[in-house]
Amino acid sequence: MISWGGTRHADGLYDRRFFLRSAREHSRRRGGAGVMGRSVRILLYIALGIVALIVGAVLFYKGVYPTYSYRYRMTVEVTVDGVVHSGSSVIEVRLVRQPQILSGVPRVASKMAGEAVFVDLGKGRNVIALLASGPNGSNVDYPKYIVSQHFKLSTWDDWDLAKYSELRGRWDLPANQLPTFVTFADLNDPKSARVVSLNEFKRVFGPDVHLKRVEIEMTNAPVTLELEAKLPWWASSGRPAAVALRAAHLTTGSSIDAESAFVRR
Amino acid sequence: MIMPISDDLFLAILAMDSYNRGYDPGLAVTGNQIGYAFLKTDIDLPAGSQAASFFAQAYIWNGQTVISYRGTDDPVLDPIHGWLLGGGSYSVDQAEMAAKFYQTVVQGNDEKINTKCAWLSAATPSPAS
Repeated sequence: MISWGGTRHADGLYDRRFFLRSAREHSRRRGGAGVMGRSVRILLYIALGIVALIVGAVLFYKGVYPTYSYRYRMTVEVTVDGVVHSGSSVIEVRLVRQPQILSGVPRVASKMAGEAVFVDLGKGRNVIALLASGPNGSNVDYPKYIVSQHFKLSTWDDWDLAKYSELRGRWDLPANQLPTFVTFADLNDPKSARVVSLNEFKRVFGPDVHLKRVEIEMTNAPVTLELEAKLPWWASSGRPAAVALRAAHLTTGSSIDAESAFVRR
Repeated sequence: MIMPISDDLFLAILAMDSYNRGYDPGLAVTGNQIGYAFLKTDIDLPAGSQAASFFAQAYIWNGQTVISYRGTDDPVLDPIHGWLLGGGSYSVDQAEMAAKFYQTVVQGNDEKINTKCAWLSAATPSPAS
């Protein structure tokens, strides 16, 4: 039986000060503070246990399903009237081991971040090496396999995956591994885009303009994010990237969202 | 000798084919035709498709348009952007993208359209005009 010992006033209400004081005394007599303390400690241990379980699960997952990443710089060099104009972009590829929870889930997922290479050729001329290859720009996973093809490494074998982060070197891409090139007659107008094949540089840009080389170099430099600032239409409404690809008669937009031909994050 | 296959079986093959087209294909296949079905390469994927692990492929087959939607192929992105649809949330990214893709295909298209969900299994087509 609990007696709160409050003082009842004429209006029938208990004095709050007496009520609180009595409650504290009762709690002290019954060891309430100790019980409260134990409860708090138990809750704290449970919370810590849950956090430890989550951290452990994440570490275990990362241990069993690691991510292997590497970066490379793609440099495009174009000779214009004997002068080399160049542009470059650092691209990161991540090879992520993952659980195959369904048959459609691959053992290793390949992700990438980076952007197309923009080269200013002067006199309002430009050329962009897209994050795609092929005459229609339909090979949208092309940037993910440039390095593996060169070093003849698989993207699924654990032994090969472990080698990627240690790769070093610099090489020129052969003609059959070049990206898809596009140019904009008017950089402000995505509808002015057109494809430029390797043997069209002179006809499109001028008699003394030709692609010198496309170089790949393994690097630790950060991923570049500069292209959007060079394309005035990028932030416009109406999906201008899709408009540009369609204007250039590329089917890239049916293989990946059109914006990803220029920038991937 | 050429063995005829049922329409259902061929539609199931098209369902699988969506995993082998576009970005992150399961198999690297080339060409714009599978059997007598022709890929429609003039349909743009919605913005942000790859980030939401969304992919769909439209085909012309026997005078009909068939749309194949990929099912789960990313164990991280698909649960976030797609699985909630199973719980009744229409506003998940993949559901909205699927609707957008369908609308893009339907626009200016007078042919019949078969929609089917690609879960690596055969699905009964449901012709719609």
